[in-house]
Amino acid sequence: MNFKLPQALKDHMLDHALETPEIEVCGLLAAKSVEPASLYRVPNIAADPSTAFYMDPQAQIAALKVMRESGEELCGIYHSHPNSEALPSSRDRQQAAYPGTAYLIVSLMNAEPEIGSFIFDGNAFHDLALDIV
Amino acid sequence: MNDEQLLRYSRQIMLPALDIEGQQKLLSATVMLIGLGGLGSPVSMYLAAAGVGHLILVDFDTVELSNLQRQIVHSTKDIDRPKVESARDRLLALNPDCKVTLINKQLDEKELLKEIKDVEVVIDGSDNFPTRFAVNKACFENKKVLVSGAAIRFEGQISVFDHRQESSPCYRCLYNDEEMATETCSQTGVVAPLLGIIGSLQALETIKLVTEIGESLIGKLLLFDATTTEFQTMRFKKDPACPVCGKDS
Repeated sequence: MNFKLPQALKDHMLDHALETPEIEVCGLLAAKSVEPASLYRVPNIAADPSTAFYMDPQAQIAALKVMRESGEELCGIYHSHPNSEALPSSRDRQQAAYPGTAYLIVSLMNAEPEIGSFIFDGNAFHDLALDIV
Repeated sequence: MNDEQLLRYSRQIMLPALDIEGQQKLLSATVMLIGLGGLGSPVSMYLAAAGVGHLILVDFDTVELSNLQRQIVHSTKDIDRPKVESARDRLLALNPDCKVTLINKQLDEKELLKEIKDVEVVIDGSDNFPTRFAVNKACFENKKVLVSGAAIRFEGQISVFDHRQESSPCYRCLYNDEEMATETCSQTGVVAPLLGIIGSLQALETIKLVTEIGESLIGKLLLFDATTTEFQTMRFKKDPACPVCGKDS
């Protein structure tokens, strides 16, 4: 299974990560029919956002409401890693909550941002092929 | 269980997952309801009818005419009566088996901690954040299960916080702003059957918790939109920075 991410959403996600490269940013991706169609930025309210993210629940509720009203469904969750690889951290594993959802991680540790793509099965992350379309 | 009880509860005893054992658990259970308003009304009626042995009703308010559009445990003749007394009469008329304890006051933090000590499940049907935060804290400190519901306008939500489990998030993981302004049904309005839907779900979750059937809404916030009749599930984990249950609290 491949995750097909439109170029515009990839650019939006990278812009978000690069706006505040010193902290982890996070957000939701929503699909209309099958492919991701929208990106929702969600504030990171973690105590130390430079090393962790915790999505603001109220902003999540608000984003889910817009998705519902737009006929969209949650299909992905993204966040950035300012100083580490595009791989799930131990905290990412603890905090993952949506089985069957794509998890995208933007790493800013090198000059060129890198995107890791995974699927969470309820227990663990597995590699997910990412196609930019 | 006597013959009358076997007959009264027969339609749930015949459920293999519940059976006589589950009914006995319900009959032995003590459940506290915070708020006998729009949510507390259907919750209390379903739990009394289902045979929950002991209900502790907590409310400090009296019944008003404007409550009756949605607070269906009260009747027109109950206007100006304390809500807990009005609710007790209705619940005992529904099921005289049920033991009903009344707390006709706003409990402070210390009193709340004391009162929930012997309770299995606490159901929050209150309409303001200070009460919800206080109930959550008391449940966390006493390792109790909290079934929380809210409804306003055309939107409702419900979640379960099981403080017996170390990994369970709490209400403050979800609502982290202490200064958050409360919108109430009396200020903003609410469509009455929405309270029945969310209240019924709270009663259902409570029955499942007491009888240990199925999967509870722990770590899930069920959102209901009455305008589209759609449910959505938001999932969430314990917030490590939560001022109540977080590592640093």
